[in-house]
Amino acid sequence: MLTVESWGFDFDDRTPIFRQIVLRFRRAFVRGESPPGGRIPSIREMSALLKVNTNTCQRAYQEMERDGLIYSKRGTGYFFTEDDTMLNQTRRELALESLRRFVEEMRALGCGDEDIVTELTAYMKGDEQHDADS
Amino acid sequence: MTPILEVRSLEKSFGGLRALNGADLSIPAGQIVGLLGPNASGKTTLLKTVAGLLQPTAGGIRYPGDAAPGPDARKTVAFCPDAMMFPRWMRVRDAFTFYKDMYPDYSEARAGKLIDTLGLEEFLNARILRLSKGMRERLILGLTLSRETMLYLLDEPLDGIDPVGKTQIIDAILTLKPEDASILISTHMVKDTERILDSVHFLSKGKVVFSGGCDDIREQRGQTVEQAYLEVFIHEGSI
Repeated sequence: MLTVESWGFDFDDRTPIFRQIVLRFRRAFVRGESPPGGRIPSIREMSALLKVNTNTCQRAYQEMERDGLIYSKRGTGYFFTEDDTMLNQTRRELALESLRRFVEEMRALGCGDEDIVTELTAYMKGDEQHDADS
Repeated sequence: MTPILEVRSLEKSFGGLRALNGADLSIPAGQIVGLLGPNASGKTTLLKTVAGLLQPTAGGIRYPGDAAPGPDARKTVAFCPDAMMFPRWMRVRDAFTFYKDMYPDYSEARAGKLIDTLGLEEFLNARILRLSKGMRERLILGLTLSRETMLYLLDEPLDGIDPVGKTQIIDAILTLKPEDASILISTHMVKDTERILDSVHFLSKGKVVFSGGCDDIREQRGQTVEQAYLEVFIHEGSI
């Protein structure tokens, strides 16, 4: 189960807080911080832990439940889905989002699309080289 | 959902001074709502009028469960007491006993949790008027939330409080709000409170000039609640 200690993160007050909570859960799920089917804290626990309003947490949980990331069992609490498709799909969505930000930033720096590919390939090779050296 | 409290065109004058100038707001059940505004914008007058401590000059208030203004309304609303009204001899422990005798909705279990969350345990035998400003604010909050009612009115609960005190006060508000009850918090400390608020009303010169949900402000304006506040009040020319 996700614990109080493992959760800590800073909110950005410009982005709706319920969205930031959803994103944190999606990352936790993909990174395997909690196994598929693992229990997650109740809305009240999460609200006390993050020091945000219970309604905000409830909105985040509703959204995750609607998307199929979590499910609730009456009387026992909330759990991550055990669905592998969900894991792969979420991983892919988060990866695409990272790529989108990366490409946007590179273009803003004035790199052409070919430059981006060349830079990335070289960087990945350099990284491997570096790993082999150490 | 029917709001728990509705305030319509509320006016309150003190002699020639208009403290409330047609204030409108409504509070949904189960929400923590901020009443934000600079000094002298009418926040305390609005809370005291809703609490039944002041008579409105004009306008209307619809209380939880349609309670009639007066003693019935006061049963549905918990307003924070003024620490200075406590007699000189009174200790922290006595204040809780006083609340227990005074309010049928006082809950021993809630009081116990509040004393713990707010760090009041070691001050139970201290005289109230000798408490530091920070401990006094914690006591006031503890007394207010020890009642189990429908609407709580908190007047500047974080004013002049150190960071540890702020955390304790925010914890108490978050963990001890009964699920369907609402809390109206007046404050000018927007940054410290914006994460615990569902929605906000900005009060300027006795009038509500802006109302909105906190996540809606973030989503639609890409701003923090504090930035929206500054924008509204600099535009209003009241800061």
